[in-house]
Amino acid sequence: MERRKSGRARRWITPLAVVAATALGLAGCAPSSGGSGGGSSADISGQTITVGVETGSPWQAFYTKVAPEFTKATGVKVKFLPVPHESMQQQFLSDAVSGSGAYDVFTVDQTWMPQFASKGYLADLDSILPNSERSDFVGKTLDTATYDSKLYSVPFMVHNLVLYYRTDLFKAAGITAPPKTWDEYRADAKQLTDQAAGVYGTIIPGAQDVEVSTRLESYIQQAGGDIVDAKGAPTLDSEAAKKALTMMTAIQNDDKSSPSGLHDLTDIQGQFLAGKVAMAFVWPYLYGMAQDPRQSKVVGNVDVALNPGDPDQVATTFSWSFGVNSASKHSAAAKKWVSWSTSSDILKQLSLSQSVPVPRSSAADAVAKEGTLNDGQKHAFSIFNESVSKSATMPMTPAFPQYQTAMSVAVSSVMSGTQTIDAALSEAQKAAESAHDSAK
Amino acid sequence: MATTTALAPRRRSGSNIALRRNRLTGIALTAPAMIAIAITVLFPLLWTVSLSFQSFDLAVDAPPASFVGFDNYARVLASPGFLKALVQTLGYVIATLVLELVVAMPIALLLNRATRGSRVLRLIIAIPIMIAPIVASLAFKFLFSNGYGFVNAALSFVGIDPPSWFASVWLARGTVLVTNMWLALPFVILVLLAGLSNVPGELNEAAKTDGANAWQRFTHITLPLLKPAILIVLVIRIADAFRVFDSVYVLTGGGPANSTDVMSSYLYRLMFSSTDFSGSSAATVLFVIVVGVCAGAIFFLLRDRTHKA
Repeated sequence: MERRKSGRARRWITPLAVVAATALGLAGCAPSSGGSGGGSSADISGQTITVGVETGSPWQAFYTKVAPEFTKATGVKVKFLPVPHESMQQQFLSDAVSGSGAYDVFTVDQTWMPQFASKGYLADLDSILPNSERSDFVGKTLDTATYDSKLYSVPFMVHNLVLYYRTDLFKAAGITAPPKTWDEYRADAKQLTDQAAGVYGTIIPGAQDVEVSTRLESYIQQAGGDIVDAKGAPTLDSEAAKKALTMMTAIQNDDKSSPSGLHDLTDIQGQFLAGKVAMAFVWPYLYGMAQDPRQSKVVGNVDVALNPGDPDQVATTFSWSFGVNSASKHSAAAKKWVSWSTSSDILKQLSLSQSVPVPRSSAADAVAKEGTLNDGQKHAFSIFNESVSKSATMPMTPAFPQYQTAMSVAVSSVMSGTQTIDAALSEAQKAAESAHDSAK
Repeated sequence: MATTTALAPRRRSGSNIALRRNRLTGIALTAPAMIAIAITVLFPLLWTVSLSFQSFDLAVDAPPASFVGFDNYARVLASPGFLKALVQTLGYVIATLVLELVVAMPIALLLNRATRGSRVLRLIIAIPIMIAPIVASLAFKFLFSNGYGFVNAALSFVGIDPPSWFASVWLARGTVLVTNMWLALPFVILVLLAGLSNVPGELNEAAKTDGANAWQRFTHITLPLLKPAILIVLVIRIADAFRVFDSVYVLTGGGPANSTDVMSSYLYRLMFSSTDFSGSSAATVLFVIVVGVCAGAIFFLLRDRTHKA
């Protein structure tokens, strides 16, 4: 018996020793991020660059169509790799960390641009945009692509949420103009709600989702506040934030002017296009969808307006831009793409073909003068541009994704009745402060 | 006697050569699989363990990594988000394993009878195995949707006030449970069916003759003989259950109020939202330890005790 026991023990010792030795050996190995890329500004003709784009997005459709013009002009071929929206940050981060340079150009969502820039994953683009070009960008739109005073991407679209409303329902209710204040918004939503007919005055976001956090941030700015103070420290438990959540819960729970449930962007735009909601805050791309009978049951009965405010009629601006992977092996060609794809003429074509606002004033002016636009489209574009010019952007901090998570948890806690407004905001503030301290 | 002693050494060396040849053959045949497992499983695991003891940043030109001992573990264990996700994951795992067995057993028993249509039913039941979890999660998200979901439409049709599935903590947890059960039940049913096919019919017949009722036959004959099949189900399903991610990500995003947050979604956020690679390495190791302990407990509880004497 004893010989069998010691034999069993011996069988375990050797493999265990090997595993332990390997682990100790690996502990001495340090990970490192990807290296820097290459590619001089010498002749770029004949190179192929890979651009990561959002799957199914208007810009994927547009840039895929116009890329042959770029190839004709520069000799650089362009390959597009579509990535689902939810996976973009993860995929691009994985590529950046590995340093493989699989993507030469990232389609950059502003929310994680500072995170990438702070870690050196995006190339400095100051050199490709001289001052003469910068003055063509509307208002503070280039702020959305700047981190630590350096330009790390160039925006092709800067937008914010606008108010979409049903002109037919407004007319039937005798409401002559869209709301300009929160009080008017709440009163109109109540008046437009007809639960028997399955129509609600508005729809309030509540899901635990980063998209929902952009709405809370917009409401906070409408209430005259912001999510950070002048020094950049988070202020999620401010009076403006409490006011915003109080307004949301009042409309949802007291007035019942919003459908029951915790809503995300899919619900918000889906229910608006299905004709179940009279007012909704959505991005500019919805305008084109609302006029398409294949996607909308409210064609011809939709208009847009500035967000109602208390007191400011604003909404947080965000941009989509192109940035160059610092590990790209074709950085000169990639920078050429960024410069070309955000030029005035190309942005004018993007705006016209996809009904999206663009950040260059020369392109916006050209669109406004375009004879092919109808009055509704011209009005919509003017609202999109006015809304962006009046509004501020998000804080450009690497901790912003964590601020978004904290805000989305707070919204879902309050809207589900799991926490009070004060408790939820206090928790969100602690999480944001921790993220802020880690990012320093 | 001299002849017997003289013969014995020749037989022993012949059997040694055969033994050594068998051992070498075994090693040669299993070596490719062992090498593949070492590369794809063992190396990443050990690498993660080593990372968990270091502080490092994967920024370009970041300072070199430094050994920090158990600091990462202390930080993760002190995080309320980690503990909440761990407790919720354990609760989900226990609930889903129990419910899957309780629901799958009667279905397997029914299908085991040679009734008409049982073959077609087995095929229908196996369909969810062919559906990707992310696709199923998207489908269930729409099914449970307030505004246009089939579930609420059906409830309204029969006069029941439909709830907001994702707005309530326990209902949201229920949607995640139901979605994963839909995906997992076919596997559990099929394994139990395979186990049931090994239960000799004569034992049940004999017990019936002796006056045992259906419940007695099930608990004293069928269930003990199904132990190996149940063990297979529990070991495989426990690993799957701990890894749940798709349904949480798609259906609830971890909400409302982080009430459906699980270890996988917590790790995902730590890695990609906070870019805390050191912390996520430590959290991963802790996660593996928890899964290992639970799997070990199942092996221990369901071990074969018949040869102990």
